[in-house]
Amino acid sequence: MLVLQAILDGILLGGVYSTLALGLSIAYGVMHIINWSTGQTLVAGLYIAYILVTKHNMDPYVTILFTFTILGAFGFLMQKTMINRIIERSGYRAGPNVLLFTAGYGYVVTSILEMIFGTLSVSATTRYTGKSLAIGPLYAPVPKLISCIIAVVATAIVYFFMHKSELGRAIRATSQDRNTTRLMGINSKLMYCIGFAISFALLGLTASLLVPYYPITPYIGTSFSFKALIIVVIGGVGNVKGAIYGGMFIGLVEKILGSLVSDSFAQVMVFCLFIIVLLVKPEGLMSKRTSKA
Amino acid sequence: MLKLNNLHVNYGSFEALNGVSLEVNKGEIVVLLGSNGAGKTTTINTISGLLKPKKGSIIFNGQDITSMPAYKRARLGLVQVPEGRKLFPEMSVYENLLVGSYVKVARTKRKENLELCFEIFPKMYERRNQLTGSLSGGERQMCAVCRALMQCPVLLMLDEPSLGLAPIIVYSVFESIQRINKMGVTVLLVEQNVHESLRIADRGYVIETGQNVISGTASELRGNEELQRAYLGI
Repeated sequence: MLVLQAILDGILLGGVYSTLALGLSIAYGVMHIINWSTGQTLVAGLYIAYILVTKHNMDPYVTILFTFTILGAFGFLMQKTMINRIIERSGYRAGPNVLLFTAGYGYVVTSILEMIFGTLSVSATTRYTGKSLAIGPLYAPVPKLISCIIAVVATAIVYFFMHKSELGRAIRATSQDRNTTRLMGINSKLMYCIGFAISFALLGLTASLLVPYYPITPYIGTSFSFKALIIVVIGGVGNVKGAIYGGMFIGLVEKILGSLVSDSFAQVMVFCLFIIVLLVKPEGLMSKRTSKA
Repeated sequence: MLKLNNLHVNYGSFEALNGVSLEVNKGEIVVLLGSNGAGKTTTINTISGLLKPKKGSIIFNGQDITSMPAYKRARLGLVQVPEGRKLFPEMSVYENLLVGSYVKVARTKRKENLELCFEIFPKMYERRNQLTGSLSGGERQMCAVCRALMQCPVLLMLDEPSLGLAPIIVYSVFESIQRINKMGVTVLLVEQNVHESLRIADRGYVIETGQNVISGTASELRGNEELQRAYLGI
């Protein structure tokens, strides 16, 4: 029974992990740059959602409209005004330079949040807090259940957007060969901006999904950045399906090992898994491709 | 239709083009010949806007496009089939063609252009759902030409379409280029295969170390002793 409950908890956590990982994965897949501020951006989103919930009495799931739009717009502008510029000027050093830039930006975000909100942990009490749904002998906390469902739906929408829409196809083409898409009349810089906007918007969405049950401090960002990176590496870079499989997988490993052994053991194993995957199957566990074309 | 005036292009301090001029008139097939490293790909990429010239100008249909971004040039119908095909490897043939017709003008003609592609290259219809990474060299070249056709080209530039292909396939690729030209598309062909390309071309230019050395009609070039010595090994 303990294991079954752990599996349920793992799935509920995994759903939210998948939108978090998508936030990193799309930017990584499209621009081949790692956004090391993924977690910090998420935390900024968490505080936005927290204010909307506590000060404006908004339903946490309605805050998605705001976090998604605000962070999406911010991501677009950041790519347009700064990252495109860095990519342009850095030549072959673009990857590491953008990584360093986002890492630095992440620290700025953390410091600003610390200045505004202080160092203490806060949590939003919502009308979902503390409610549980009994599924046979198992219990699913209501906010986690709703969040997981929204996350899975959002992931499916992103999948269809990337694979079936004109814009999504153009973004994927840009990720595979930037110069050639320019020859097709596609504005590759704009595709980068849209890719980064989607990344940030998904982090905003994830923040709204976490706000009903996750305690917030300015410092939780780094662990989310790592978690996102691990999921992306395990699921395969720039791969929407990989993000959901990887997210579920990590969610399950954490919860099952956490309930059988201990939470810290589960964390150790997750990191070990990450290292093993990088050594043995660097294109990702879920990736069918064995070599990069 | 296209006019290059004294183009100079540098890679860092290396001068790749050192004054290339050429002209392509409406309806022609013009071939740009030269050995490896002569500056052919640099020329075509500068026309497409992937490289910026240090000096000189590019006029397309009476408009100075020297400083226009690459994606805007493509929207004018200045279309390139790049060297090495450069298909999107993680997409099917069909998806590659859809990306080719991404821009508005091309999207409205998508259906008829798809039919045209599949008529010229029936193989592409058979392979439409296959990932382009799994195609043979000849099929990849066909797919790249189709993707360019989806863009509604006014001037079609092909960078070494014969590269790495068996002679019989080179022949059929060149036949289809000729056919596309007869439909009203002007062609600028960049080639090392002197024999095949002069067979279909109206005029040609030869460049060496980033400079024009010879130019003339296809028959003049075929009779040019210097060119024969250098490229045909006669």
